[in-house]
Amino acid sequence: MMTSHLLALHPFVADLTSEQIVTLSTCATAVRFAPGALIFREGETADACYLVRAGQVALQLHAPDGPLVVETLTGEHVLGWSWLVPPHRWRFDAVAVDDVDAISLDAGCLRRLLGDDPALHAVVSRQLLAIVSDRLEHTRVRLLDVYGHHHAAGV
Amino acid sequence: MLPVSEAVAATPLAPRLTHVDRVERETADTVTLHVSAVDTELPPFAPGQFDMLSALGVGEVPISVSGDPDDRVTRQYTIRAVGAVTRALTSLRPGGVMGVRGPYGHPWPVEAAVGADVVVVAGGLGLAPLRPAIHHLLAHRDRYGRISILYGARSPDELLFADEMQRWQSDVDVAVTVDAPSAPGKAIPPWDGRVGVVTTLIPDALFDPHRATALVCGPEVMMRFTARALADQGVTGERVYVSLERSMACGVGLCGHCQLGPFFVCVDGPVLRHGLVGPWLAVREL
Repeated sequence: MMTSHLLALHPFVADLTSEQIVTLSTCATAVRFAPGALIFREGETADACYLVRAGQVALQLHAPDGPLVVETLTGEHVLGWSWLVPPHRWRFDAVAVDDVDAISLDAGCLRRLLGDDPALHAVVSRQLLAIVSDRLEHTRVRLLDVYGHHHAAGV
Repeated sequence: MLPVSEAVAATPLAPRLTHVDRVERETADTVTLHVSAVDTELPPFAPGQFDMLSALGVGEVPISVSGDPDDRVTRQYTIRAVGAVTRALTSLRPGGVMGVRGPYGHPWPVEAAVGADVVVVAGGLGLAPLRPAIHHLLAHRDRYGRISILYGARSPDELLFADEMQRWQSDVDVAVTVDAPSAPGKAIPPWDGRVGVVTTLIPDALFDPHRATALVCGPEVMMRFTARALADQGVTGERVYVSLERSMACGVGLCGHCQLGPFFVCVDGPVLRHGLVGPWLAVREL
């Protein structure tokens, strides 16, 4: 368990009440990953939600030629939502690109708290949905390949 | 018969003949031409303005100037081969001849931004029209606050001015991201930098959102999402400037080819405030 003060600084909990933050802090641990460290691996149990405070993380998929980086996340962000969605398995690898400071929220503890407190569940779910929505938008824009030739005026 | 320079003065829409002095390959399909006038200096340009370039016997196309506005002798154009005219222009070799008329259009508001932070957001080839503004900002570094250059490209092999960007980093903040760090069957330089759309660089950039001026250039979809991401950070559309690309023929507001609502992009743009032009960009079929 960590102090709720540190947790309260993360934007993910901006919409939570002080009491909810204190409650959430019972699931929280401060963690640090060195550059190159594997934070989680595709297929393994999604046992945590990471509130990254600083540092860059590469989300990647393993391929025969080596890892394929799907996206990099930087600054204060939320890493991982597979802990919320059955079967609770990571869908990607996450690797620290540089020094990463994060708050790890234990997935079992978190699911239990959300089950006990529908109001907390609603706020956390809304926050996660906003993040998923942003990342989906980014992915769709990349799929458009807006820098590709087919978008250039053919003069 | 009139000398060329007098003929040009007599007919302002006539192109001046220029020599290609140097050709720099930027990517597989994009080159930067360094050109100089055959018989007289080209008129000075302001960052963000464009010239009409003619590939002799093929046609004419509007291309933003991509070089240093303080260079009075040589003009640079960064051109991607996407059609008949641009293919002809990008095929030119040193000593080749092409026509130039201009400069035309409204420039980037580099004077209006003095004293404020400046955020430059470029996507793909959109870095080329911004490069003269970056030269200007760097040449007058002490007149501006924080300067951030945020650049997104399709893949590492399609990054423009990569060496130059390294030098820019000593004076300003530079962040680069690519959409695809690798591609099946394509030899791409190794990439250990950011992966994702250019808008993801904005939250990490250091600027005062209430005073910053944003200069944005890239595909229209990218500019729309960028304006939205800047607005999320508190930069209103009144301080976001975009450079538009539309089909142009005359370049001087006569033919109407580049009309966008009440604007002629050639004379009212290509640089326009997003707060002004954004609603028109949202009108379908325009």
